[in-house]
Amino acid sequence: MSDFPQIRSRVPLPPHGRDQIRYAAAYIHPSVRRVWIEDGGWWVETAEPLSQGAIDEGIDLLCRRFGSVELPELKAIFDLPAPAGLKQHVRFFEDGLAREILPGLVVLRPPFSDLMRFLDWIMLRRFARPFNAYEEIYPNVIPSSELALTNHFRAFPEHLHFVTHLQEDLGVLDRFAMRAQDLTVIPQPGRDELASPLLVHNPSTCYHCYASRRGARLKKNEAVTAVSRCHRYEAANHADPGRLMEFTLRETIFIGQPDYIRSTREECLSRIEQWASDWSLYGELLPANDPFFTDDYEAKAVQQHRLAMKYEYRAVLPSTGGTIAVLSSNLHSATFGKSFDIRIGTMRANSGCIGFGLERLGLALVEQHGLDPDAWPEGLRADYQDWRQSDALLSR
Amino acid sequence: MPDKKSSVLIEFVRELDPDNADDPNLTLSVDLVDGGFIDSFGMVELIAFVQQRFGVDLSSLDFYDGKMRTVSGIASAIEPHSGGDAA
Repeated sequence: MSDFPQIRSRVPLPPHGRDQIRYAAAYIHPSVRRVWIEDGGWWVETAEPLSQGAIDEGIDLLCRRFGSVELPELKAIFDLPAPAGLKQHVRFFEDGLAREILPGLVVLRPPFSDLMRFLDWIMLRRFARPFNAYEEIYPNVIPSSELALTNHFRAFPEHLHFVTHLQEDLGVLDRFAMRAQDLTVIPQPGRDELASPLLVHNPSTCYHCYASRRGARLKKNEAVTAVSRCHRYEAANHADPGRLMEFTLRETIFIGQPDYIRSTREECLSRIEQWASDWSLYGELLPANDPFFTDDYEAKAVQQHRLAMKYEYRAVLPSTGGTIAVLSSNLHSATFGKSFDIRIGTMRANSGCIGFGLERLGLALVEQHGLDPDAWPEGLRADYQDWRQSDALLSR
Repeated sequence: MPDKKSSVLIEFVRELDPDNADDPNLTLSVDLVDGGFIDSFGMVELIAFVQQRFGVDLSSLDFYDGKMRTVSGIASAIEPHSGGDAA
């Protein structure tokens, strides 16, 4: 039994969108620790007492926003069912794979950190090299002015983590340093001591790809690959190890003619099926939509489904009995070509991408198959042995 | 020559976004989504416009089919359902 206050909301459960509402309810108030459904109603646990009215008001707003949106029935285009009784082989924190600094912030340790290098290497080999992709290296922060053009501010305001610094002012710097001498308190800058936040932690690797091509006139189709640490603030949802505040996203990004974007998408889907089969990574390849946070959720989510703009591979997680998205394959049509005035010939460039969340992929892999490579499925073991021979840390 | 429905539709798409107004690539046969002339909101607005102007519900149209994302394709989808040119 929890020692924290728990309140049952008086707002009834809506017919649709319950997972989205449960996720979004973490943003009702900073005190919210956990939201769940039990006995046919919403329950909210908070760090400090919150009024019934405040909780009902927040839940009601989210139910009105998400609760009537009926998305199309999801039909897997590929599935690899887990064998009955699949057990969780490894626990992320309890078995020492990671140490939590704060909810959502973790230090990864061997053998999981070794696994991350392997996963990145194999994604390059299976999903970048076949497309003749070349690598670009991106900053982990992105100017607000560029992120604004992606429409991310409007679609996902809840994820933003702004970056700023102390004002260029000798008095401000000296006073802050003086306060920091007292090691018994955490020095907090005053609002007037901080500069305007012109940078944001980048929430998605591929944004830099489009922003850095602003105004470009492409002569040919391009495939680019990049890996970066991405950052999304997800409030109390960070309690789930599958929702890290900072995570590693390897992407291959395609920019060019619509036919090229569609054909690379088809090849990506085919390669996903082959790869999941080779590794016996149990899960499903499903149509999906982004969890748009604001009141335009319905229009955007429904259109994403109708235009088949997003697919996710959802891998089985034995620890929860559910699944977790380990990759997504996305079509953007001319959205970024238009936002950043990227053209090929006279037309706005189209784009698409495939992105792998490496920590999530590693988590699903070790939960399903454990940490002993000798016990892994044959295809996975073969890829691992190939990597191991070339890895600087493990090839000795 | 574009028929009247096509002309009405293309005019609607031109007015949807200032960037579309003078774009020579906006033709009857261009894919409106691939060409960046309409996004998900624009699609919803276009469906609502067709409902209001022609009395035809296109909400179940298969927009994954590229032909259905052109002005010509949408005009031909309207045709069988409309008793005449309501424009």
